[in-house]
Amino acid sequence: MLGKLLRNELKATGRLFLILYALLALMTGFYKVSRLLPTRFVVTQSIMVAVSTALYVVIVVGVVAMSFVIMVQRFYKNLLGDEGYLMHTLPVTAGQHILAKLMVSLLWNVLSFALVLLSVALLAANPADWGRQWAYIVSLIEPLAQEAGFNYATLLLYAAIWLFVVAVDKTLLCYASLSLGQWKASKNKLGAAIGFAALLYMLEQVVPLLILRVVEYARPGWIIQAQAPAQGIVRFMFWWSVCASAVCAAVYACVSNRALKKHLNLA
Amino acid sequence: MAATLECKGLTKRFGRKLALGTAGPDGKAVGIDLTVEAGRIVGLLGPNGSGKTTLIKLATGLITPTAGEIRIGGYAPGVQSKRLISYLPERTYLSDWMRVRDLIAFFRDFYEDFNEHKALDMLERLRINPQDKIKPLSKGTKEKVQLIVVMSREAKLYLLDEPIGGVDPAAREFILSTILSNYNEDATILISTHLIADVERVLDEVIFISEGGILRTAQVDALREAEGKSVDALFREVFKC
Repeated sequence: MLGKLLRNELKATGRLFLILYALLALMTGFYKVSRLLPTRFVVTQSIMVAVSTALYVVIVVGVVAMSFVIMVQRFYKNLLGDEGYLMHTLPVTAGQHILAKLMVSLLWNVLSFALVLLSVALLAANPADWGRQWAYIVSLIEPLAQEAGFNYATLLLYAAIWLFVVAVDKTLLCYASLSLGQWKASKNKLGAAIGFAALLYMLEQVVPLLILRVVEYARPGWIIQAQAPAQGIVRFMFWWSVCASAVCAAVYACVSNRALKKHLNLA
Repeated sequence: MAATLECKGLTKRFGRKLALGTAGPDGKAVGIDLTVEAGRIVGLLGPNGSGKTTLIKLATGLITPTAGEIRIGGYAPGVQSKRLISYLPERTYLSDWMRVRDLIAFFRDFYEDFNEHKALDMLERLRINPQDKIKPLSKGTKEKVQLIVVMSREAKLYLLDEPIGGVDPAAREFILSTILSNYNEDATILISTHLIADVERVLDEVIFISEGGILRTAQVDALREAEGKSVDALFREVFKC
């Protein structure tokens, strides 16, 4: 059943994203062409560059913003709005609904991120020049990586892991907030969901820090000594952040599951 | 064999409001007990706000009981019970992005008992093109599409919440004939409505519900004979304002 939910979710959201990606490709081409105009058309070129830059920025922001908007809108409308009357009477579990929405949302987020990066790379350099540009980027990352005790490839891998876990965490935070909003509020459910999102986000920032403070209070100097030298601290903070996000994600998943399974409140 | 629908001491509160069940002498809620056997067309009759939709939502698992239990074919609401129930809510649940053919494919995907041929046949009889987008369809057409997919399942229990509430008399006729012509004799149909005159002729049994409590359950023929009047007339008398 999860496969069927995934297929339905992809069909429901795919059209919008494909249009956005087509627009991104179009604007990338337009921007590139506007830069290649012969210099004798100075005024025309200036206008085209200004217009293409503005449109390009709008579409890039649009792709990123839509990934978020569609994630929230799909969960709210499809599971907590009128469409929920159909979705929650399907022979599937609440957990499968949440997992399908999460997986498709992550897929579009990763794809949007990759396509925006590709678009920027295409605009920033001539493809023939990519090797030289990459070497330049590596020379910028290398000192940072060395400070943390990694090579640049390991640093990029760590960054990718961190981004992925944070994306899962924040997506599930949105789902948990929306689920709590429909559970606890009888009227302004969206308003309640925004309130829960703010509360959960604040707790997510404060609780891990409090735990570190408690550990530091109970065992003064333990964290610093155990992780010395300085490279150990960087790794410790990385894994601490990843684990904290993963624990929060698991809590949000459980909260969303319980709210949809035991406290569904479709008006 | 388990009853198709069985409720024991079932209550539902929304905040302080008791939506299903009645207040006992000690102020505590007294839940409803109800059994609906297989192979019947049952009218769940009551005025607005009497608890009809709440009872149906509890059976579908869209809301959870405050106390008591409800079982469908022996199962508590969950994945197994949802396989047995074909539910028509009082509102439109269709996704705007879909075409009619997408909805058919959706039901074919999720319900093993969905009869696609029957659905396409009904659409053709109503001159609804499967290629049509759902969003621009009229409210009445959307309701017909919804009824078609719901009745194209070979389910054990059909829960139809106000299926004729918002449609014109001609559409009512279509809806009732669709229900009757697609009715599998082993299945049970529970129709919630306050438009008794229109549905009376198709009902085997009635459940009168008021202010969250079951007032009376009876066979339609026996009720008419005992009271000497139609169910509609009796309803008007019982629920007179």
